[in-house]
Amino acid sequence: MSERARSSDAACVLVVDDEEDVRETLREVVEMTGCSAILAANGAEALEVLAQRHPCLIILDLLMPVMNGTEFIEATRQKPALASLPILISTSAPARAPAGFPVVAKPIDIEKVWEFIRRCCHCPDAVAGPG
Amino acid sequence: MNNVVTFPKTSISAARQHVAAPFLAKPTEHSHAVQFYENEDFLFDTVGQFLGEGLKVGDRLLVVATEAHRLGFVRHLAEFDVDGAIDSGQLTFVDAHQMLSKFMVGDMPDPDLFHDGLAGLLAKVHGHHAPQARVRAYGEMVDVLWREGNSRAAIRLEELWNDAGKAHSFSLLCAYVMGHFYKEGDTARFMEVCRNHSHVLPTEDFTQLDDTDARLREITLLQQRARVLESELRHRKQLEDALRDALRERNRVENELRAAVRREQKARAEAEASDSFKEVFLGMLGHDLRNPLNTVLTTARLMTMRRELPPEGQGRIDRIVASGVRMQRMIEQLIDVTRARHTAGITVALGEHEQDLLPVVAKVVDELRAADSVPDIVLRSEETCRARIDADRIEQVVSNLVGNAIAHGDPKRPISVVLRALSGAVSLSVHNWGKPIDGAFMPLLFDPFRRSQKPQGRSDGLGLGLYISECIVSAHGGELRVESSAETGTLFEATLPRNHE
Repeated sequence: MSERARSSDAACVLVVDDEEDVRETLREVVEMTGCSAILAANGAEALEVLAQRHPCLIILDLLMPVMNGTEFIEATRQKPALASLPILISTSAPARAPAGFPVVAKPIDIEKVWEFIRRCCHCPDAVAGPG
Repeated sequence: MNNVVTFPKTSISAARQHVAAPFLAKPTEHSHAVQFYENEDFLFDTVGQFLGEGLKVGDRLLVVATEAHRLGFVRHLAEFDVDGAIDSGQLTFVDAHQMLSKFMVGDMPDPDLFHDGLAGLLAKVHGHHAPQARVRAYGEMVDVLWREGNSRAAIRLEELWNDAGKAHSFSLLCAYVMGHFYKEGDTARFMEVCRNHSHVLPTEDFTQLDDTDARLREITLLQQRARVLESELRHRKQLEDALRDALRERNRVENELRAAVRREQKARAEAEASDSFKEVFLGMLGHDLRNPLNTVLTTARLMTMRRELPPEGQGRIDRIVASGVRMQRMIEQLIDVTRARHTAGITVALGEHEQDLLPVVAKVVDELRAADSVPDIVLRSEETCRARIDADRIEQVVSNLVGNAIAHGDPKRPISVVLRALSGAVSLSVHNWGKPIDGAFMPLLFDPFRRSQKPQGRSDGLGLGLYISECIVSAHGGELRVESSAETGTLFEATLPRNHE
């Protein structure tokens, strides 16, 4: 990974959700902040992405096939390089979210998600919304 | 029941007159007699008389017997010169087993082998010196066969002896131990044996009676005993039938029981399958249906935020969002009702500590006030009201009760939301003015799916809100009650205990 790519990851959000429509919607939400989005369909795909990229935030669904959100969190907590990555859980069952993580209930509160992105990432030239 | 008379055994004595003495002394030519016996001593006595009388009159004698019986017969012929008779050829002993082995093929006698063997034997018995002499034969091969369990061969052999009696001149005596015929069902074979003989000699019990009167008494007693046995047999058969009926009945009851158990297991399996269907249904509502709706709502909101549409287009987007939100509430209600009715009920997660209810209620009231054309909502807390609650669920109750007040109350008069501290409990009440709830509808108010009429204006759900609210308050250990009249308006009051476990 080049230095350039690494620096651009400071404005990059990893979106993990098994539903394509949800991923695309979240991509738009992310891109409205001026950040870029990388999309993964489950925890396993997200881990593959993390082998090469270092996003500033992960927006994570819980109920997913192959590797669900809780399993993904366990996997990242065991890797020192990933352990401190900020995670925002986005779920329709907030009551079942693991403790200690910020949660947005679906349908997501767009402003709340922007607030998290702004807090964790260096968002350049916002196109719309937050500013 | 045991009324069978036991008869005194008649003592056996050679000195007493045998009932068949005339026959034994002078048997008819071509006769075939059978002697039944209980004890071997009696057999030895009878055969001894038969042979002894023959020795006296110079008849030729053939004895086909077992070794043990041969010795018994010889013992009873002590007054005769048996050795001399054997040496002279007048008396011939043949071993029964040995002779049987010469004509038995498999388990049946072979007629040709039997007749050939017998013809040779009779020729030897007659000898050269006395071809015209009468022959007395005693045979117990049939008894041997019967003892071996081969009664069919024994009866066949009797027939062969009868055939031989037509071709040769001899008087034949054979014997059966009576024990062969003691079982029920032996009668037919006993009759068959009797039919195959020209003379039938009864066992010692009867044979030894020497005067007519004693015999008549004996016959009478035998008849009586036979009747008693027959009646005993009938009675036992009835008992047996009753027992069989009882067993059949028990089997039937057992089968019914097993069938009932099977039905119960089937019903249980079906109930379990149905429960798992409900789980699938709940999961479908909870996840599969909500997800696309979430995308619709988020996308519509994004379009609003990006100001992508002209004002009339934005109006349509607002309708999409409003309808989506209503649909979302209905889904939440369906999930709650399904949980409440089919699984463990609506569960509440009470906070660790008591908390002030005012901020929880105020948050919901503020959200509702924000909507357009909402009457005044007055929120009052007379004192600090603290209780252990599930804040999210209490928000749901407040939202439902105030939402109902907005939907059904007089829009020109204020709605009051009041929190009060009671002894050991807190009270949350919502009051509105306007048309009261129909008295007939009051008992159905908390029943799911029983809305009396479509509410005025837009419905925010399926009419399940009060049912769910009641479930939530109950899950907190509290109560939800209602009062409604034209004069006092409509009041819903939820009472929550402060320390519900």
